[in-house]
Amino acid sequence: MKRKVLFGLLFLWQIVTIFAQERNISGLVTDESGEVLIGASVLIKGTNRGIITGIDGDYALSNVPEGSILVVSYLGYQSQEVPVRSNIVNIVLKGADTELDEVIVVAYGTASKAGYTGSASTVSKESITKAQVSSVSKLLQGSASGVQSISSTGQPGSDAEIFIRGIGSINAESTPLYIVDGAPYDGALNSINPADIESINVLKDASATALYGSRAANGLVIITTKKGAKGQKARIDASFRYGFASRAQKSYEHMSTDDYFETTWDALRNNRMYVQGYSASDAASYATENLISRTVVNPYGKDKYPNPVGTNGKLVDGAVALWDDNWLDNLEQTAHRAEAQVNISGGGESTTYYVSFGYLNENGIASASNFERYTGRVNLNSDLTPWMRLTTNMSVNHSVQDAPRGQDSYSDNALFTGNLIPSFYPFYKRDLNTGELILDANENKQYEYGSTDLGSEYTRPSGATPKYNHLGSADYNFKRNTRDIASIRAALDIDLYKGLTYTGSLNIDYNSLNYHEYENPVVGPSALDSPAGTVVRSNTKTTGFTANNILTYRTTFNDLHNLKIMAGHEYYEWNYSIIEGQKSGFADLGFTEPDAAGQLDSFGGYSQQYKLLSFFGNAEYNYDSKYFLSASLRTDASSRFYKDSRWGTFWSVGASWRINEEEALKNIDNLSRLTLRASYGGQGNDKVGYYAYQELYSIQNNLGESGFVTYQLANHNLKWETNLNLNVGVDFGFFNNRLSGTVEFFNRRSKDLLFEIPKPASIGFTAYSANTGALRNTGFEIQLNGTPVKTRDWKWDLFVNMTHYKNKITSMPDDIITSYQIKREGGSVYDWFLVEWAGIDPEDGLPMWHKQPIMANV
Amino acid sequence: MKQKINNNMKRFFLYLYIAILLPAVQSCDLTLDPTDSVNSGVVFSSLDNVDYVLNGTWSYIWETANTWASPGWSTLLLVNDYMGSDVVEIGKYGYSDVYKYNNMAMGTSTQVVLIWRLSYKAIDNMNNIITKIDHVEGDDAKRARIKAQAYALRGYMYLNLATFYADAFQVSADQPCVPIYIEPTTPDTEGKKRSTQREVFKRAEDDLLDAYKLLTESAPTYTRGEKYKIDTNVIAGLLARLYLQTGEWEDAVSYAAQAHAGYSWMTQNDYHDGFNDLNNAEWIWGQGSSTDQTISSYTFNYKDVVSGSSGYYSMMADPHFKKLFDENDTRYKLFEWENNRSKGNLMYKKFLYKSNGTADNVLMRKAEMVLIEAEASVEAKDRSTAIARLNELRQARGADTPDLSGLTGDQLIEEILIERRKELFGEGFALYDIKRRQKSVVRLEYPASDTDPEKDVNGNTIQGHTTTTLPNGQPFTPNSPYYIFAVPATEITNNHNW
Repeated sequence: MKRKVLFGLLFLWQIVTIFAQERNISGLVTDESGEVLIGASVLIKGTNRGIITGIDGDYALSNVPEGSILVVSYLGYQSQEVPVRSNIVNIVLKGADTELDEVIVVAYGTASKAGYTGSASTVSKESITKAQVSSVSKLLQGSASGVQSISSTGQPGSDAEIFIRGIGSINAESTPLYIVDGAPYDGALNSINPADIESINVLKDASATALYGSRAANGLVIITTKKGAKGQKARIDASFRYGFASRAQKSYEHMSTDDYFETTWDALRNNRMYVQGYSASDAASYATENLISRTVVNPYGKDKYPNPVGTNGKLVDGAVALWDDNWLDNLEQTAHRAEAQVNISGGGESTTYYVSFGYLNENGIASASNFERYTGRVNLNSDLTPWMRLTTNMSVNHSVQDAPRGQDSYSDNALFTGNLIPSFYPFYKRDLNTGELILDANENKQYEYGSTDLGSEYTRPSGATPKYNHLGSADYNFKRNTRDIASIRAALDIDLYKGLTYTGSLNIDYNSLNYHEYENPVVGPSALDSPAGTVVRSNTKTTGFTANNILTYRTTFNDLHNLKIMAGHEYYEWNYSIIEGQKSGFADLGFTEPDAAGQLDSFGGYSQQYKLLSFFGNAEYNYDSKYFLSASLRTDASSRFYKDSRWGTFWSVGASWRINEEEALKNIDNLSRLTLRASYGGQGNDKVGYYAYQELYSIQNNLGESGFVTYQLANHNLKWETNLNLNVGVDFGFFNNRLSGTVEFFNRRSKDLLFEIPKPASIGFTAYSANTGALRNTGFEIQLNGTPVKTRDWKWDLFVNMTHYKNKITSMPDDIITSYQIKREGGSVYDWFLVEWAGIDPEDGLPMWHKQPIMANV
Repeated sequence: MKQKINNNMKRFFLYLYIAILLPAVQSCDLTLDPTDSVNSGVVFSSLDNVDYVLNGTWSYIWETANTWASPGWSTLLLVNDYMGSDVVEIGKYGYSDVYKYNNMAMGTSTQVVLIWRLSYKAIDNMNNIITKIDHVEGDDAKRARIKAQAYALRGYMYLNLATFYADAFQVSADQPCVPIYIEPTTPDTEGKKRSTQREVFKRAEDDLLDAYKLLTESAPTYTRGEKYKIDTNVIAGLLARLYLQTGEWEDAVSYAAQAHAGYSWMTQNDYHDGFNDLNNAEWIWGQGSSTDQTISSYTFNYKDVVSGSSGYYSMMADPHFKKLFDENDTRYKLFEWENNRSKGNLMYKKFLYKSNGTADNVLMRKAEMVLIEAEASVEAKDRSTAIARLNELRQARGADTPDLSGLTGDQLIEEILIERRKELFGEGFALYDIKRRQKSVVRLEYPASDTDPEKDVNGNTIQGHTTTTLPNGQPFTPNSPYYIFAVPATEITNNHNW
């Protein structure tokens, strides 16, 4: 709806601490342009002695034996081995633009970026570090091509919606699959501390995603967290950030009080004259006399100017509004954000560790909105034996979100109603004759609730939300989400035979969401409820469990043919359960828990389960790292379909050609990269109701007696929605990759769309789940990276990405009209179905439409 | 030695592999069932479960709201009152456009969509019961009772559809009205074309007569536990309403008499208790409420014009309406000028929330049946019974009972119709009476003439009707198309046989 939050960076503070040793040799590590490299690893080869460079890119090592070799490495640069021949050893590292070294994390493994046949966008660690956001979903905003990130709320701690290459399904889900450290992630995105993230890859086409089969029909977002490095001494990294924010999108302009009164006068006069048929002068005096009964409050002084607008429709001489209380200004605050994080990482010969803690406290522009998050993570990797490796990632997260309603047109949404209450309605209690504030016994301002039932002098008209003063209620009321999330990844790699590796992993995501909503019994509308004050408590628990077994075989023959074959099996289970209860009737303020409330209003709960069983395989081949081929196959069985339609098979093929490796182009200095690639394949989508194929009656009890009522018609033919993706792209790099980029074309077709087909309500059902129709998203993406200036002191990076796509419904047996939208062949999923406004009839001032609204009988 | 470690390791690896694989093997069972709904096979496995479909359907129609402006089945009753002559709507959420005759003519309005959806949801559920119950094993009397109640609820639905989706029966009997379904819907079911109003009335009559016959003959000992269930009195009352519309007066008289047999008048004190309790002596049929089932109670946010907890309090009375009462009438004491939230409006304090924030809704009560008896008796040329019935009601309310013996038949009918307005205010009969009697809505501004001397009360200007014409600016007429409920636009677009 509105993107409200824009952070200004106030100050950024970063320290890097090293554990220094005695001096014997020393030197500087720089890159080719002379820029110092902080944190580069300098290791004495064959030992676990080493150090990382300091803030000035310097290092020092004592008692280095004569003839030793230093291994110097830094992420993104080629490692170098330097023999020690003097006391001063300066090292210049070359950038790792030899793209074969660039590794990206893909489905069930990693791939060299060069020659990767799929379409991937990477969000760099730098942009993750710089971003002042609290959720991964917002990190993706504008930082990767083909990704749409839509924040529908400025509520701190809420996630943005992510779409990759358009909306691929009309009714089934369109959100991508998130893989965190190798396994599908079922936690809230905002529970991942961005500081823990090493990289984010967005995989978009079939060859990239088909290995996840049905689960990745809407694309894959692969998040990898940081690890320690082998042979690295403990390294502590800490940062603290503070920022503030205000509304990015301006709110509506408001009418002035004077305009409001004159316009209301016009409305009264016009209705009396044109609709009710009175003479102009009758109507004018009627409007003058009845104006205050319409507005209720008279800000011009109720005794001095009882009729502030004269029969000429203008304010009478001398009438001046005595106050002007902007409600929205009163209800908004400046948002603040404070974040602190510390991590320790390092490693010995066989074990590496990364341990981090993070704290975030953020509030939004709506009063009383707040988000507080604690994150902790341990990533521990160990070589148990030379042929067996254990990888573990564990994170624990606790957060508390105070989320007053900030969306929709509910009366308790302060940001909405703040726009609806004109500024002549006092925000604090005022003397209506003088405009003076009326203070309480302690000389404090008193909130005005605008309702005689709540002790006010008057009741605001219903359009001006009587009974509410959100700031007054905010002292007591809250809607609080307390989340606890644990995420565990454990994987074991075993080398079985030359080139043959087994990987088994167990992955569990556990989420607990405890919701507590409280409305006080003393101020605001809930004070009038009978009984007064309510409390809602609910607990939602979800667990996602993934287990898989994978065999991988890699081989190279004749030094030219590289082959990788993988086969695997995976089981996924998702469980959901909720209990919720509401009570009402509190004796007084200060009690917010259900035990303190007298009347039980509701209690309920249920659970849901989903299972998916999969088998998959993949083969990748390249010739001389120049020509690449890949193929994959996956078959999934989903519990959402009837047993005969349960299995779906998905596949992909891809190829790429690194043209710049051809002899003819190898000598062109300024061309550093040119790759052509294409892929085609299919994935599936099963995101319909969990039990959508069954004929069901819902349980609908009545006053203590059991009850059933028809809920859903059977459809045993319900099956997988299929996506077929064609992707063709070119990657290029010039001038040592100072100018690089990617251009891609995609055609994403979806067929057998899982759809709630609207039915005439007279058959007793308004919709029926079935597969129907097909649609297509066609488009292109361009990503450009450039470094126009690169000197020792000054580096300027430019990064541009754009995506254009078009959605078209290519097949739809019957037009599907749902309230205000139409889905029809040749149209798009974004088409509206509305009556067109034709302006105002100058004759009678009534609205005109190009087609009459549906007035069936009239 | 190294070989041994490797063997141990490999054994460990084997165990680990099994440990990982085990949960995967269990996954072979991919057929899962929901926890908050039941498979249809379970539903039709016992008579008890079939009985629950009656409960569930009843609960569904009362507790389903698509917006707060259409709180379940009460919506039908609210619409009727806001579209009559005696209710003044004060520009609040929900019924402002209904009061102005815009909403019910528009195929997309929330009330239009909901009433249609609930009616046909109930019909399909009853079709399932009626069609399938004969194959369910169990006690015959119980089966007959359940089936009778299903027929009755289906008949009630078709009776309402015949009433509100056409003009009066005498005007539009052979015009297309609404589709009729008597078989359970399957995935292959198509929308049906409309039947005539006569056919829909006939369907309702057949269903109600079937229900009556089954219940009286095959389950004569049935006594319901709660007033929200259907018994012979309720079925008789529905038949009385039907015959009152189709002009079969003798039947209307006799079924109305059966409907209120055994019910006594409420006391005058009871009349001031807020019309919120199923236990009221006069109530024959209604829906209860509880603190965990509150959608049906939500209707009191509109009807209760007194309580602070009432959110909209928009069902105010027309100041002209007050003039219809004599001062001895206990109902007259319900009038009070609003001097608080909606100054100058006239409250008729008939409906009040219970202290726990809930309220029961009435669908049928003795007074209505007595008035049907009276009205049909006039038409059946039995004016003395008519006068006696009318006076019985007036005496129960403490009202004057002037000598009516000199009135003509038409005058007596008028007298009874006015009594219906006074007695049934807010209970969902206003538009219904206007339509079936081919009357016009009558709405006068206040003051309308010099005979309305009071212009101010408590220093507030008296507020009367604000909408006094149809939306097209024309005066109210009998049989106006604006009195007919629109069919939802989505029904017309998705029903290919419409």
